[in-house]
Amino acid sequence: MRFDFYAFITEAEQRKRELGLSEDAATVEALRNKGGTRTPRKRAMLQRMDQRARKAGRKPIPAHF
Amino acid sequence: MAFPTDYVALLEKLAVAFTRYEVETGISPMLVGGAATAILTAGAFMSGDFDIIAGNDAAFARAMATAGFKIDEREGKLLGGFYHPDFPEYGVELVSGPAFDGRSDWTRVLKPVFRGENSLTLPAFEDLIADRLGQHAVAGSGDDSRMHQAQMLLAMAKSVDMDYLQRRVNEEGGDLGLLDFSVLQ
Repeated sequence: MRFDFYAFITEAEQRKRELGLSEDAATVEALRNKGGTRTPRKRAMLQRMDQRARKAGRKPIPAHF
Repeated sequence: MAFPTDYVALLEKLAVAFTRYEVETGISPMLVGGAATAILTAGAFMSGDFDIIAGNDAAFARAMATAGFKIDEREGKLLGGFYHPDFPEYGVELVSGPAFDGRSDWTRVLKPVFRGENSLTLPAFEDLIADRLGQHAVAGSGDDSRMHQAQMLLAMAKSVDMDYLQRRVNEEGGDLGLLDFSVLQ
């Protein structure tokens, strides 16, 4: 099914508000993979992403690895 | 949490690569895992690593290069990974396929279109919920993240094909009883 990405995001944000879904820091963290079952390859990839971001003066995307 | 502007910009680049790959091979890659979940939950959480299934590695590498992605190399070895120099905090990795071991119904895939032109291919909500519940079943104790992701996906889905969802959850080894279906009402 094809749909417009930007319209979908707008509708999804509205649905979150209607459902009263929290987006506080604790809720976001609860959704984040804690990393216990990551493969060594994935851990290395996440580490490289973190290093690239820091080297470029960008904020790394939070991830457990 | 709204998507950061650069995240959407990266998705647009990725959609260029997906479309280029589809033109060359006749079939689209599929974005799976946490990044697909982050998109379908409109950024309820962020996932900076993109897991992609594409059957033709060489064609995918060409498509990614067309969209400006670089090969992510370490110690001179190719790892099947990519990054975009304008968005260094993100990474893309090819994972082995087929998607969901070939058990998903391809006619149900979701194709968000960017700027009316290029599109990504994502699993159906049912497949991604089943995948998350299956991942939860094998996750270590103390990590309920994939269960929460499944619940959030269900809330965003608005409606699901219950027969298909139940079949897929069973196939992935998950527990449908973990979901609160009241969000669909």
